[in-house]
Amino acid sequence: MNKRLLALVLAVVMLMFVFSACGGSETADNGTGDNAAETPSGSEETGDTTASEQPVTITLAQGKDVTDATENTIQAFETKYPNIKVNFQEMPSESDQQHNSYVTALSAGDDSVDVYSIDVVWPAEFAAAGWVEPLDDYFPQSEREKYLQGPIQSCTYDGKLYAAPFFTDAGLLYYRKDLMPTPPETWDELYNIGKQLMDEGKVEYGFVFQANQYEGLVCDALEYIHSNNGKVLDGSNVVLNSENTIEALDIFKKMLDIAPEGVTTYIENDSLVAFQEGRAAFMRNWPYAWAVVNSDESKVKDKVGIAPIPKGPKGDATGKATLGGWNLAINKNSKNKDAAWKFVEFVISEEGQKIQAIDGGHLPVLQSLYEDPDVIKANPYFESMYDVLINALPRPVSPFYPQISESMQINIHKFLMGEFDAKASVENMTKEIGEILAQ
Amino acid sequence: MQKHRGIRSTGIPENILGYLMVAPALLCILLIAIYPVFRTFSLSLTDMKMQFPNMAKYIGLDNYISLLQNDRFWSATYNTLFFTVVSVALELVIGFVMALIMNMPFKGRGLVRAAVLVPWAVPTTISATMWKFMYHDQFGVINDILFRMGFIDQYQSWLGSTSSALWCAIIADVWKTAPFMGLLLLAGLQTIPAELYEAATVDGASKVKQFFRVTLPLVMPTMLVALIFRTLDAFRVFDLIFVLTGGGPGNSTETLSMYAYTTLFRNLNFGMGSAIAVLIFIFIFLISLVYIHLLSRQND
Repeated sequence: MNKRLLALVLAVVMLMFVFSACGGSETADNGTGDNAAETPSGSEETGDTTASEQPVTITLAQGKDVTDATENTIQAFETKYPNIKVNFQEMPSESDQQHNSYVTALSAGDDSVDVYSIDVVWPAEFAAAGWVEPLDDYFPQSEREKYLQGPIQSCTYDGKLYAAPFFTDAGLLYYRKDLMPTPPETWDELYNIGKQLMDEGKVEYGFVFQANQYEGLVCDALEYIHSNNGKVLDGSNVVLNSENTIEALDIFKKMLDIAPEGVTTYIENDSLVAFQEGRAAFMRNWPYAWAVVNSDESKVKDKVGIAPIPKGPKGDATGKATLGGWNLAINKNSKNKDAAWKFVEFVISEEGQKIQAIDGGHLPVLQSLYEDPDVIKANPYFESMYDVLINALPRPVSPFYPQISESMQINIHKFLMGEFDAKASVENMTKEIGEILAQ
Repeated sequence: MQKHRGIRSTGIPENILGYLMVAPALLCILLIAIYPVFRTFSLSLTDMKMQFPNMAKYIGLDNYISLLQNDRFWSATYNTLFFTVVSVALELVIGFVMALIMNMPFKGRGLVRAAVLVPWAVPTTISATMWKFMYHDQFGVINDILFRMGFIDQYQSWLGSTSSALWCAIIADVWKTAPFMGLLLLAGLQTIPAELYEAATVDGASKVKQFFRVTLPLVMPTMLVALIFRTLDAFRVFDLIFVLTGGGPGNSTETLSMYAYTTLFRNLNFGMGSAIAVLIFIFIFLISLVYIHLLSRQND
């Protein structure tokens, strides 16, 4: 009797589990789907101001924003366009996780999200897959000229524009202005100053950067390559195999001499901690580190300057930072593309960009804002960022970028670990990237 | 003949009724187990890429052929096997010692049995992050301890060296799962009747002899089941190494699961990624066969 009862209970529990599992995903789907579908009818509070337009709701998917910038942007937009409501779907802050969920949704033809905030390296991939709407008709050439060209380039694939730049980011050299009068302009100078300060016992390490086997390694390595006039792709040709690249990689490896031994496991935060503790003379990092090194917990508060990435022996007048940042793309299956564009247009307008810059501390993509007194007042260091940003270069633009990056991560890391020399590393990458592009 | 009067009265023949009754369960298994496996296999025969979903075509065994010629695949296989064999062996030995201790009567035994499970209860990503801090080349507690004890004369980058990174992962895994192994073995130990030991003592068998002649043979079936669990888990290791090293340094800690994940979800190469997944499936299937064979021999 007892056993029968137990079996019954277990069976019921299992059934509940099965149904709740199925039901769970279904309601989740509906939940997001409804938002888009429901909107044309759910109208009472909106509407009325412009009688001709149907009130709509659009959905924005974006990684978690720790600042108020996104919320304030949406509020300002809704005040300006009372007929359009923006529903903010917050995503995990990890870019990999966002990629996973966007790819899953978009490849299934999902239309629940209208505007996606996408990483600067994704537009080509999303464009080739046909997931995002070309924006050429919305965003004319004359308008685009007002924006930083690096971010625009990152949105362009096969001659068409598939996203609009949202905010930007670029690699920077942080240096200890209490230990040197001026920052180095070349990698050699950086190495020598760092080595000397180490020998004098003023710092434990000359230089900290990111050399773990991950995406950041590609960002760092490309700065050496681009600053020495090397290049990964020219159109769809692999042009990596050059004297310039090999020399650049050798300079990169030389920096391991003046870096902590574990730098080959460092990501941004590891180098930031070492630098903030006053252990290193130089750090390569993104602009976000500025606030951290100048915070009260930092041992190097007010002792730090920022400078552009140094250049290589075969480089141009200035070093070339790697471009980061985010773009806004419109879902090809969106039912409200015009409303979605209105939102994108607002975000990249002077008003929207100012909110991002002042409330979010994000580097604007609209060039004129680097002379805007309000923006500079809120972020004084933005002024010196302009020169860095106009020289910054995007990572290779290709629908197969993740694979290109992976090949570079593995081959450059193996080179740094001493498994083979720079020439072999470059030859491997050239061969592998060639195969990746030929598929 | 008319024993099952109640069932007969429905008018459905008994054998068909039987099938009907297991049908929901079979359907569930088909949907959640067989279909994904079949679908993965059929995807692995195409060159499906998410960037160009409409250009996918059937390419036969090409994915498998290029994988078998690919050094990266073999190095991932080697890493996976090395990790599995070493970590499971260590877990078995340490788990056995734990089980033997927990099986002895002492005060507070219940508390120890519960406390020992704590590492196992911590989610892997969290324990991996914790170990990552402990291995850190500047602030890691492991460097600090070894340095103070005089084993090293300067801080080491444990995760940054190809010779130590995989061992770091193994240690973290053993720490986490040896208690689990210990508890499973403890269950096996408790089924051994005390009379057997009494008889062995009467016959004059030493403690060591008792262990090899009584304990080990009798705990063997439990041990094999525990080993199946742990081997299959270790073979699919992903989160621990993903957090700890991300596959580095120089790709020297990449495992098959990580290779499959990167190929599928970062590179969106579903054809190739599915092929790796199918090969993992085959490996795991073979390992299971070996264990099942061992188990059935035990029972004979």
